[in-house]
Amino acid sequence: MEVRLENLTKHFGKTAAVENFNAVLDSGELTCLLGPSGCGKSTILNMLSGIIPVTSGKIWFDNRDVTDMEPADRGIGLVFQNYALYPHMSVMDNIAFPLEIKNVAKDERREKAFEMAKLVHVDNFLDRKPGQLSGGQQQRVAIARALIKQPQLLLLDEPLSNLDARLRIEMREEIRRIQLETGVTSVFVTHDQEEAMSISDSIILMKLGVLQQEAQPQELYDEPANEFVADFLGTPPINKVFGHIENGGIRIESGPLCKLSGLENIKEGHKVHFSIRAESFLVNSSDPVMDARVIRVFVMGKEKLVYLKLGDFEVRAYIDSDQELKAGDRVQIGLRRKGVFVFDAETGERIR
Amino acid sequence: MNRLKEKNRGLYLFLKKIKPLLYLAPFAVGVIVFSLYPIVNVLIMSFKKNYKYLTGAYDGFGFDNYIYVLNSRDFKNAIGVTFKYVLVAIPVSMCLSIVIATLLNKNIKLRAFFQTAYFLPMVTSVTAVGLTWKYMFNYKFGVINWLLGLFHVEPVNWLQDPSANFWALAIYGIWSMMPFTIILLLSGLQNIDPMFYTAARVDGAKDLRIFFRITVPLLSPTIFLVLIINSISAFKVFNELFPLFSGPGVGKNLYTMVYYIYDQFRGRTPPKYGYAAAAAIILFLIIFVFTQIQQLIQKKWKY
Ligand SMILES: Nc1ncnc2c1ncn2[C@@H]1O[C@H](COP(=O)(O)OP(=O)(O)OP(=O)(O)O)[C@@H](O)[C@H]1O
Ligand SMILES: [Mg+2]
Repeated sequence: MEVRLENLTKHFGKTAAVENFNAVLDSGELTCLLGPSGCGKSTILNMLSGIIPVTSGKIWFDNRDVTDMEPADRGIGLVFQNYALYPHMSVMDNIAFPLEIKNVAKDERREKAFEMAKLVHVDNFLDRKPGQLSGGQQQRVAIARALIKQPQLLLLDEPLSNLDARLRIEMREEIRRIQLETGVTSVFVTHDQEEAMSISDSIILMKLGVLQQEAQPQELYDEPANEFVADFLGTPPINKVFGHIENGGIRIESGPLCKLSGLENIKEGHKVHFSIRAESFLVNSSDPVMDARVIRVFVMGKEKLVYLKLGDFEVRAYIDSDQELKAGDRVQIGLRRKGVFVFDAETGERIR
Repeated sequence: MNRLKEKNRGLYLFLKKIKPLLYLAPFAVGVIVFSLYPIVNVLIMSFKKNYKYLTGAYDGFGFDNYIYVLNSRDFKNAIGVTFKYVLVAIPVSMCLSIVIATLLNKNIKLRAFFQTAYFLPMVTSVTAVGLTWKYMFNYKFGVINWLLGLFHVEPVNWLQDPSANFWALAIYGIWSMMPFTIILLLSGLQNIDPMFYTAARVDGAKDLRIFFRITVPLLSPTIFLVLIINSISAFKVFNELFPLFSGPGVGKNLYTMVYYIYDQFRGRTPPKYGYAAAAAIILFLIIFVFTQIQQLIQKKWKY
């Protein structure tokens, strides 16, 4: 089922939690809502489920306008951050509860619940109470309960944030597997960019209630629409140096002039933020654009991380582990084509 | 020299051990003097034959008091009245309270007002409130009969008619039990995470199903706690008799167990302290067994 958000807006009193939001979630895909805390991710999810009413705008499920529809009539499955499993019911009863509400006969709903339990690998715990399960197992039960009605749309609000790091990785792969197996259109809320990059077909990155960019994970990484997007993605975080346009290149503050193409139309002296991913530096390049001094070198197994001094700024760069460098060396720096961005210092808009 | 050190060390350890006891002492003394001593005393008294309180004289130990009390028609009567009261007042007040607490929990605006209103009976004088009820139950001028009259129901002689006065007692008892019950249940309800309701509602559950499948089970620990507190106080029904009937009803038809105990040393000359003590111990055993059964049921229910 395709989901469309049309000029969706939500105000809580004076706070604008979501502002004029337009997006399309493709059928059968897993879309991540990504953004820092408080940017309105849960608010969008709750409007999709119908738990909170919209201030203005429309929500479409295929050709159905569901904006004012009751949550129960929308055909959605919901997975909560802290699972919200009923503590007094067995795993079996928890999973079957949505069918119990629909007055499905007992045998049938037990059969369906068993199928679901098998899908999410909790069929060994059917008689236990949620309190007797680990966090990961509880989350599996919650997913089974959300899926048993065969919803058209599965909504997950930070489903992994209560799990420890290792389990988080395991469970996100599980969620992806279950999503692909069932083919249910899904929305996954997270503030963890790595999580979003690794499981989604498409990512919607937002900030303060406003959509920044909607794209596939790789595209979001390679072609950020603005400085916020570039800053938000990547480990280690993207390097950022300040400077201004000089002779068609960038003069880094108290530092070298970096020769760079594609800036010919920008007026001299325009202030810019120059962002370079750590893997986009070519240290000791035969085609250098500037020079820098090595401050520190960290050996990290298959590669090395060097800290370079560029004018007032320190940047991190990856180099091959067979390159011999030490603190104090002067090096010639080249840049790859990918992962090098120039943003307007005022607006944060992408210039190059 | 070394020996002195040893000696001091022993003293030091002794003081260290006794220190917590010193902190405990004031409370412990209070409990012993005002709770433990009287209880033990009553237990002993219940076995003393022909105990005279003033002189302290008695004719040896035995089960005579128990035999007398258990064979007394008044006491058997009292057990009947008391059980009837418990079995009527507890379930009714519990059901009403759960419904009211649930409604209060929903409507946030009214909550503050009703919380105060329901709490009022607890802070006002029992006797004053009881007298107000006496007027409300009045055969000719009472507001209750007036209300019944609106529905063309014959007036009931609540206070003088022996077939009706139990119900006056029950209504008054239920009413005075409810505020505390509601407050406790309300706090229990507020401890239920609203996300359970959201989860159920998104799946299409209606109010009634949510109430019975989610609210009541999650509230059950509070319900059992309140049941135990209320049954203990209902078994001791006694104070309620005075403002309404100035005694045990018509004749002795509302003669409760605590009234029986009271009557043994207030209503008889010379006072029969032995009988009163034996009756008190029997009442204690009944309450003990009753609450024990409740706890067993609760264990079965527990999630
Ligand atoms: N019920 C509410 N009343 C008032 N303001 C609210 C309410 N719910 C959310 N907000 C505000 O709306 C904004 C967005 O909140 P939202 O919960 O959607 O953020 P989020 O992106 O889910 O954050 P997190 O990652 O911390 O969960 C926040 O500024 C928040 O304070
Ligand atoms: Mg949130």
